[in-house]
Amino acid sequence: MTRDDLPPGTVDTGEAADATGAAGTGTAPERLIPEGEYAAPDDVQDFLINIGPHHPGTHGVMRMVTRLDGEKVAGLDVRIGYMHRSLEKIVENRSYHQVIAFTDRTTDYLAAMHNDWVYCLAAEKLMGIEVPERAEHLRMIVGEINRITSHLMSVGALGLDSGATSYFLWCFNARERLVQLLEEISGARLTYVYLRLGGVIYDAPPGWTDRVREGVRSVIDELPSYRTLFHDNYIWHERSKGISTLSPDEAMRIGAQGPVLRSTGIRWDLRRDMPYSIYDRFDFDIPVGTTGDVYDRTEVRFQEIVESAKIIHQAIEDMPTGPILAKRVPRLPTPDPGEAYARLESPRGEIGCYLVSDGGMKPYRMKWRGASFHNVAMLPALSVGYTLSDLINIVGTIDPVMGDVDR
Amino acid sequence: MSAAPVPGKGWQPSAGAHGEARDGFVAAARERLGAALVGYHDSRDGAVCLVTTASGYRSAAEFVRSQGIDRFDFLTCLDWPAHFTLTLQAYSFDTRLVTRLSIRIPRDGFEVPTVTDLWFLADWEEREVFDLFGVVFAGHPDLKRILNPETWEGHPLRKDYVDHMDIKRPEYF
Amino acid sequence: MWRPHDKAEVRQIAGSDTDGTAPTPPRRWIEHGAIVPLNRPEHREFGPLLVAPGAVLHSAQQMISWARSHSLWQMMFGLACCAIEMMAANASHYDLDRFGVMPRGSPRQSDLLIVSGTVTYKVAPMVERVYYQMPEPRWVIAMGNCATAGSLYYHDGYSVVKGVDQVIPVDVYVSGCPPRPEALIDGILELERVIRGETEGGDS
Repeated sequence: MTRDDLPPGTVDTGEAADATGAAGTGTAPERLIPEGEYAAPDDVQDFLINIGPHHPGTHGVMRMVTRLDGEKVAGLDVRIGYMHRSLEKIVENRSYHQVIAFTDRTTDYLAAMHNDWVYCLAAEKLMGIEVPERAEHLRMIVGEINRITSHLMSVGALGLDSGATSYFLWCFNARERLVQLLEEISGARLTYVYLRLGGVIYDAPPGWTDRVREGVRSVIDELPSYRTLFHDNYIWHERSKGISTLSPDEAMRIGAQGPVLRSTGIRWDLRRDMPYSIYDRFDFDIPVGTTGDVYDRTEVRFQEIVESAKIIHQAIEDMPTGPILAKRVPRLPTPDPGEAYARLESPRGEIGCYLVSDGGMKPYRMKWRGASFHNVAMLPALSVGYTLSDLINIVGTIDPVMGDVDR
Repeated sequence: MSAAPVPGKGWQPSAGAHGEARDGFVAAARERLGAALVGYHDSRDGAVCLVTTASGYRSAAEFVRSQGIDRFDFLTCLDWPAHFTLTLQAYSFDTRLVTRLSIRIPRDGFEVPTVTDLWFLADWEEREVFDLFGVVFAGHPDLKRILNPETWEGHPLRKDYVDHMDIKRPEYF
Repeated sequence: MWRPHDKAEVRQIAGSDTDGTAPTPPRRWIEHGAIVPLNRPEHREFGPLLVAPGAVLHSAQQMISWARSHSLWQMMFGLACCAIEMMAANASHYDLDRFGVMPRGSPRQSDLLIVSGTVTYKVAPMVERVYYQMPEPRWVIAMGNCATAGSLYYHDGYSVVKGVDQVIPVDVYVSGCPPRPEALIDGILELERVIRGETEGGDS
């Protein structure tokens, strides 16, 4: 029996009930693997293996207590909070402008532009600020470059997890060129405090857009060789196809986010379906998978790189001249009492920011809705029934960023 | 449970007739919730906010779920001086109608019924609210701290939380 | 190592005056680490040498420290955003392998713990445990402002340890939020100087 013969993706939550506390949620649990196919003999006892909080496969500090049945994961208890940095408490004591420095460090630091962006969207909704056209284009360009760097990091780290170290080095080589572009415009390599309420802080330096075109083009030109090295590799197919399949219904039930959702075949991308900023003007595809397995999730991310490049090229073509920062944004904003929520498609899925103002100078409350938080929550549903070595790849395709999980 | 069509492979959500969906939703809410519905309004970010009584929270959540609001956004709590406001937000894949359901609960000694059986993601969100605010969810399968260590004292996001380790920051404004 | 047997041999090798009439200059030991001067007249003031010319004299400890400083095996311990820059430093562009720094998955094989990111109260016991699992001698670099002093989370951050040096001893602090890979490389070179005893390091 090979991987391809496995029945497609229904998930066993009943088996994991005592370990995960996921019992009784939603539809009746179905066994992922038919009874008797891989079932351990009665005299074999389950045993526990602890992975983490520090483990190279957990992509940060996350703890997974696995209950193993032979080599199969029979139950998984995910424990988080090791990177809880009290973001929501801190921003209650900072002004609205100061929060931007926290959103790109404390949350998903691999896609810091998107985190700043969603906070700015929420705050701009709250204050009724109009963003100039040129700033919208610049936000979009840096956001999509950041999406490419994040996806390169994700698939590269997946290669590292599954033993393809050279693929990791290739991805980082390409990522480095794009990071330098972001550094050129924002001054930072990773935590760019580039967005401001009402626009962006720096205009593009001379010749930057041409260098962006060249840099993105060079990365796109290299992608076929990446595919030859890793994605079309027989070993990777063996390790990924049919692993952790997910059906669309199940993905809807457990609330999958971003590429994990799209890999099941559901064409849902907030950039197209609930457009924010100026995404509705641009032409791009939304790559989807078919089975939602590890291979498809990686493939969706890999193909999204090309779509992001399309958006970057169109945004550069369209970019008008003009101001980059809205006029009359107060230094110390005091928005009217009220609430606002903004959502955005980050590389990991939907992130959201819920801001509540009581009329004061500081946010009364900010609730961060992280995509990784919700993706990690469904990890037991994805990995029960597969082997321990598959679990590392499954975590890699979820692409959790612990800052986004724990905040 | 869901009134929305179950998506299959290649399924695409229909282009949202947002206004009609909103009107229908509000009318159904007034009819189904009755006296439990304290009020509703449209927030400035386009969400339909239902305010219900604390005792009607569970039935309101069931109503929201039955209207095809299947995509869970967040569950959070606001610490006002006299009470907590528990806020749940979800939206519909099909109509993209964003719904925000909020109740007022006393700061202590009130158990909120769980909604983990309606939305899978509410599991961890309820644990987070329990951890940071100390709101107890009755019927939650595994209610324990999620972000802070289990030995942590107090609930940090309450406004009256005192951090003894904290170094006080000068007030700049 | 070559060692002198008797005085005559030393004198002959050192090329000093052997006719016995000239007064013997006072014999001096050459400092550790100095290169023995060559057999030239201007070098005779050093007197009879006890080692071969061209040899390097070191104490064993200094020799070992020198070797250790160029083979720092690093513990792969990514905490937060600094870990991304640490990975970037390890990857192809910055290539920490040039400095003999190799990432290892197990603390038992590591010499160097780079605390890359914010240490919270929940993860502090694990950092401590990883540190004590490493065999001695072991060194610690606090990478980034968070590991140094809590950084942005210094005020109001109820769950953040205000500096990893409250948990484990730190040899070198690298500032930055996050530090660039060049800054990390600079910190590692500074640590190499600390190991060789050339500087005190930044222990607080």
